[in-house]
Amino acid sequence: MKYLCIIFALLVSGCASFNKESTLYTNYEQYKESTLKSKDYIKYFSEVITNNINASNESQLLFSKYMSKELHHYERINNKIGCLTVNGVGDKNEPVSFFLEYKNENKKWLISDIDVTFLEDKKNYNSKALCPKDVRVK
Amino acid sequence: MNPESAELKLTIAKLLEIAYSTNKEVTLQIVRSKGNFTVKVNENGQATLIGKSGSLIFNGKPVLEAIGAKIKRVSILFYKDKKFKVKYKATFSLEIISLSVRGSFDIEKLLTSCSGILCQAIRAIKNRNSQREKQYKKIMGGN
Repeated sequence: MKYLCIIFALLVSGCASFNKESTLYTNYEQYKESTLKSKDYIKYFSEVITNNINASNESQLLFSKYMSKELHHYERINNKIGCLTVNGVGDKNEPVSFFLEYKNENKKWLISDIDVTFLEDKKNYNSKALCPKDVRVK
Repeated sequence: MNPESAELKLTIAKLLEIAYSTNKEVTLQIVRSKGNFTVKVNENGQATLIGKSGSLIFNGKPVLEAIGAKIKRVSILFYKDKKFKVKYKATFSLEIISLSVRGSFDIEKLLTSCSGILCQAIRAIKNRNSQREKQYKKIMGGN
């Protein structure tokens, strides 16, 4: 019975770490929801970004508006850096993907880089987590 | 207001148009030669078309100014798909985010339409011609 309890405890902790895999996406969902309210969304961004905000470019923080429906997402975390890919479509059903880089700063995951990619076809969606630097044309 | 994908595709067409109107011969040599070619625009608006057969420097500033948002740089990679069919990947780096666009178009169709409408390039960019923009969007696969 004692061993069964240990196995059960291990299984439960396994499930808990599996849930951790959606850390970045959960954070993204919270950011997206905040864009519907006041200027709450700024707290989801790293200083790398917030230090460069001014009146003429702040609308770029509302990049989530480019996507009206989400289809799938992928994420990976490597130590204190994470990458989140969100695939979906825009208002006219055109395929669009977000590639976000996250940094863990003071135990919080904050968006530190963003690329919005407009695709030609839905078959061109990436099916893995990529960072903005992986998809940009250099 | 952030730029839309159709606007970015239109900008790509216009950059090729300016290259063509700057030096028709060199532009055609580059786009018709084997292999990929690129267009890069820096923060000052200086644009460079580079291919295996050579390169061409031209002024991309009027096109970038038309977008509205401040563009730090643009990188476009063109690669051949089928005969005359060109695919492209482009990244427009804004101050905070980057916007990338993927697409394909018929390069000959774009450049030959120049003889009728496209060659009035520079003047038309300063005075936007909506009919021509519609035609470009159609060629570039814009919405």
